[in-house]
Amino acid sequence: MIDVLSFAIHWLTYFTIYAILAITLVLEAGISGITNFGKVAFFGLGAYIGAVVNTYTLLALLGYDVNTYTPFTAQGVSVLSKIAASEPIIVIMIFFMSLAISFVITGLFGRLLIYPVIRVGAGFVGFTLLSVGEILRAIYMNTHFLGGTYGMFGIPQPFTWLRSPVLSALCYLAVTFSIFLSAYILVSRIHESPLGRVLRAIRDDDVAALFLGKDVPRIKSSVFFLTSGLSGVAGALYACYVGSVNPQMFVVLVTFNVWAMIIIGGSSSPMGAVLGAALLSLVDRLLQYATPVIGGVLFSADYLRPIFIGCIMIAILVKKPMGLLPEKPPKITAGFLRKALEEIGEVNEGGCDTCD
Amino acid sequence: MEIARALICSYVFSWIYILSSIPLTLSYRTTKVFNFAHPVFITYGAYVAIFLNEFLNKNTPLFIAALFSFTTGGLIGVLNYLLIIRPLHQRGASPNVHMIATMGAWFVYQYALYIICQVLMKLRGASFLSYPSVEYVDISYIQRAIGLNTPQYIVTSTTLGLVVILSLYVLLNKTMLGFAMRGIADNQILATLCGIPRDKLMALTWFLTGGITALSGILWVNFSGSTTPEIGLHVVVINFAAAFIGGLSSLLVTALASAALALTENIVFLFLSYHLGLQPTIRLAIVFGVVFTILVIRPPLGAGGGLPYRFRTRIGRKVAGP
Repeated sequence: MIDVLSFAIHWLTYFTIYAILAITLVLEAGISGITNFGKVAFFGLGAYIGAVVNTYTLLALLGYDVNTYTPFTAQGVSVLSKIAASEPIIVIMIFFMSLAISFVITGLFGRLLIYPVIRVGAGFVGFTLLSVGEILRAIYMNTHFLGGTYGMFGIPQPFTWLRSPVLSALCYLAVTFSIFLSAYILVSRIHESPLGRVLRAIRDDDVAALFLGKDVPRIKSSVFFLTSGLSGVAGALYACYVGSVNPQMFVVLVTFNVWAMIIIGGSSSPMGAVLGAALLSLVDRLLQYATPVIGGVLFSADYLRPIFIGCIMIAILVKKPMGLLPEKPPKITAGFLRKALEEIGEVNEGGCDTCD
Repeated sequence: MEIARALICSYVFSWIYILSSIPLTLSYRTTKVFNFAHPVFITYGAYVAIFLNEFLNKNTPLFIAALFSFTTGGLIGVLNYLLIIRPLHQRGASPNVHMIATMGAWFVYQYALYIICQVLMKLRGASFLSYPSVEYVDISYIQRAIGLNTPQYIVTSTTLGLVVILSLYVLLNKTMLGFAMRGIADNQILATLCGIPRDKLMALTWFLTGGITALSGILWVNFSGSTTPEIGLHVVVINFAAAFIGGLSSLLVTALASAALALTENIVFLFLSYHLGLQPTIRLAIVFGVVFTILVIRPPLGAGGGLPYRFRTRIGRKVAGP
């Protein structure tokens, strides 16, 4: 029997985290034309940074020997769970600090990475970023400090001290929802601003935008800093929610899921990304419950989900390429149009017929 | 001894990468689609050989494995073209949309293979999710007949690699079909006006791309001690790197880059594992390091739709001039 409240909180938390990724991908791919097939690289990096800050820093601050109490040994995990239940102020402070650090480091990583990559075509950008995700995974696997193949456990959820699991989950949902809402407002504002128009011009024809005097590489790099940073924050939120990280959590499939979200919703519309994230995260959560019922006879039903999503993604691309919520044409007011026409000398004393 | 082993690995991997990189460049320059479903061809090629090996009670001839793998890879290529690429092209979709759609196809095929492996595992009792190397009986027989003691994977990779590369060379450079394919690659509209059947040639290109790439899979299963459905991802990163070095246009440079990357990957890994004790999973990072260095030092500007940066500086100078 499904506990409806727990299910709703669980789904909404996943939805808000994935919606942050989807919104940032809309800004990158749908609005700016950066084909980021390495979304998981930034998500994973943010998650690992979040995990490291929320475990090692916490242990070090409270005077534990981090060489003995590591977040991949039983005694380390045990100590971390005790700290999470008894030191609310420090845990919450460290949690918000981890979000800020994740934003800055993943943002800078994204900016550094995009600098050489941005000079080549979309295919290369996609492949290079995809490779980065796989390489980071290889590095996590080979780093003892990060728990190697098994990863890190005992990452404290900042509201564990509340005792009531539902209340604790609700508080965490409030945090993820606030960050999601901020990201949505930010991306929507960018989308409708003059910068958004420049970005769409770059997306449609970067060479033309370049020749019109727009500093395409700098603009793209700035956008990528922001989106990478926000993806890192989503990763840190995910790590604290799940309570563990390991290299198998950050495979290419994550990137594919986020792409599927924006394609189903509408790849150039922030609201479309939210809709896609809501639909797919709901299907994902429902399948988690349904898998034990429908699978297990001949093959794992987990494999059906990517096939199903892949087929829907291709069908939408072929039949309805703009998704469920297509990009709306930019809002042009009569005043704006009049001013623009005046600038090019189209308006005479009799006024402008096309303005209204 | 370790260096000799690394050199042998480099040699075999060179052929695997050449057979999978050249079709990637060929498909891009002919169809202008950056195919993210490329790993599927490699994985399915490898798994066709594995399934044959299991159903023929480990008596698989290379010839049969190559025939079946080539056909399977080719049919997947044509299917992708007919169901995804052609409809998107007819709707005037951008290259990015093509790319994303092929990425979707990659995951559909990838997880379909997982299901096939699990079903066959239940039916046959063998583990297909990590399969040991496949020995080809015809090659073993020939080796015994002529008293050749070299490892089978060297003979297999050399034979298959040379046959495929020479056939492709003849096809592209000595036949009317090859001229037509090159015509389509150079200018599709002009080629169509000259009476070249674009659609048929596109389908043929995808068939060849899928087929030849699948052959690299049968070399992989012969050489590697463990084949998993994830092998395509490992190989394709090197394929993209090699195609990228070749500017997505030159087959010769792509082939040379594949060999160079195989050598770099194995020799640098040997050095790093000896001195730092790193695991084989770090191999990809070595290849990526090479690609990244090229991106920084000498990016192929404008390749694959990239931004021709240097033009900006020149125009700026002209404007600032007299």
